[in-house]
Amino acid sequence: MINTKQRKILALLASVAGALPLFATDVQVVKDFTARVDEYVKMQKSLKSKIPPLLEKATPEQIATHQKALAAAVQEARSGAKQGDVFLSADPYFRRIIASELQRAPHNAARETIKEGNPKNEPPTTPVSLAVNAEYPKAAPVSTVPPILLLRLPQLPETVQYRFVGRDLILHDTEADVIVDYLTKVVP
Amino acid sequence: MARWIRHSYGRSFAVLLVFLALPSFGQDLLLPNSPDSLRFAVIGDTGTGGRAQYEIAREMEKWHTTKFPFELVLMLGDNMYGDEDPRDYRRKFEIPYRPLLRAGVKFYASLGNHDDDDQRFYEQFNMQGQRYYTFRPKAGVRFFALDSNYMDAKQLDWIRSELSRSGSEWKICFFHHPLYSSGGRHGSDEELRAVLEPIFEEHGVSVVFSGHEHFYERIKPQNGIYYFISGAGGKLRRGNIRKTEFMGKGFDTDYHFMLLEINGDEMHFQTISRKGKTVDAGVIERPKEARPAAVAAGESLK
Repeated sequence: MINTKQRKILALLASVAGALPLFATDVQVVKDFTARVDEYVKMQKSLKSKIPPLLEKATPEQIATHQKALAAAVQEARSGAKQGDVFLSADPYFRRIIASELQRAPHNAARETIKEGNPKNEPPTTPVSLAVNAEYPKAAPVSTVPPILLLRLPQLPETVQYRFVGRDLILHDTEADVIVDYLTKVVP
Repeated sequence: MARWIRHSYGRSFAVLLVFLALPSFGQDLLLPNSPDSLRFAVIGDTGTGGRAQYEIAREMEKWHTTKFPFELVLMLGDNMYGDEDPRDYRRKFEIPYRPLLRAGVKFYASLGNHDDDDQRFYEQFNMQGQRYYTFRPKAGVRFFALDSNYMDAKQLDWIRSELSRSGSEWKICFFHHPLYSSGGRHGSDEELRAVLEPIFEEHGVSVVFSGHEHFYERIKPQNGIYYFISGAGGKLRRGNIRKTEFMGKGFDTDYHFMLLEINGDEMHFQTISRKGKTVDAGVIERPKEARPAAVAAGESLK
């Protein structure tokens, strides 16, 4: 049996596709954004092929060595990258979707979820530096991303994730542990 | 003295609670300890490298050696707080659980909000290089580890598909964030519940383990599913449990771990404090109705 609150959230999720006005340009914006992320992942894969692979059964030393080597390779390959290179024209699209979904979620549930593990809420010993190519500190927790947003935002490949740092949204390369791009103050 | 409580939330469940008898049992094993059953332990929010984690690990070892030789341990996330360099893997995992690891006990981890995704490659966590995965340690029992930090469409499709493919009688999920919680700090994750609970119900999940809240809680069966929170294997949020209508049993005054045994249609559980005292125990009966089992005969032991 599903209670009333769950029913509301489910109804919201079910209606999500048709709930927001889909502008003709949105399709192209999402397509372009996805292409830029794919390009990033292609580059990441190419860099990975030049360093010792990380196997399913690795030691802590192998994990650390691999992550550091990959981070260094990504940072070097993207040394000229700047904020907005990946989000680019999708910036307004992300702001609109996030604001709309957070507003529609009942009982402030999605906002509360974003606070879970958010480094601004649970300050780590090493603060997260909001910069392209900056390493995401191992000591920092990661924010939970509400399913309602993950089901609405463009899907990302396995090694890149959306995360929140305070009110800012980052694209996090989870294998190199670096920030690929970010948008500031997307949570209204 | 024991008491049977029956619930009818669509699927029929029964739990035998022995809580009234606990003071007299003290440090005794209340599980059948049958050699042909699946015996396992559950810990959550362990990775501090601090004194309490080590004390719980020692208590687990004691029970493993002298009373209940469990073969695997489920880890409910926050396996490592703070830094995660090789020294941290030693201090926050390998050293405290070394006697169990040496005894051949396998640990199966899920990721918490303090865990780096790279933990999925760590050999001792047996995650197959994945954020979410499944394994079947014994015929009839299948575990599903989820990454509740990032429940995207791909993962939802995966769990739906894996649950529907599985013909196991016992389908047990474990992940970090609790769908039901009486915790004053976090409470229930209603967003996650809205997407996961309907899938669990549809595909016959019997039991769900979560951490995140630094205490122990047994939730009254919700829509036919048993939920446990075991999140004080290394951190404790003393006095954090609030009174809710769904709480079956709560314990927030000391650290703990759980011991469990699946024997046919019964799952026996016993929750033990850092001092070795039993704080909760009982038996869950698996629902009897038929389950979808598309590939029941062909399931592989992964």
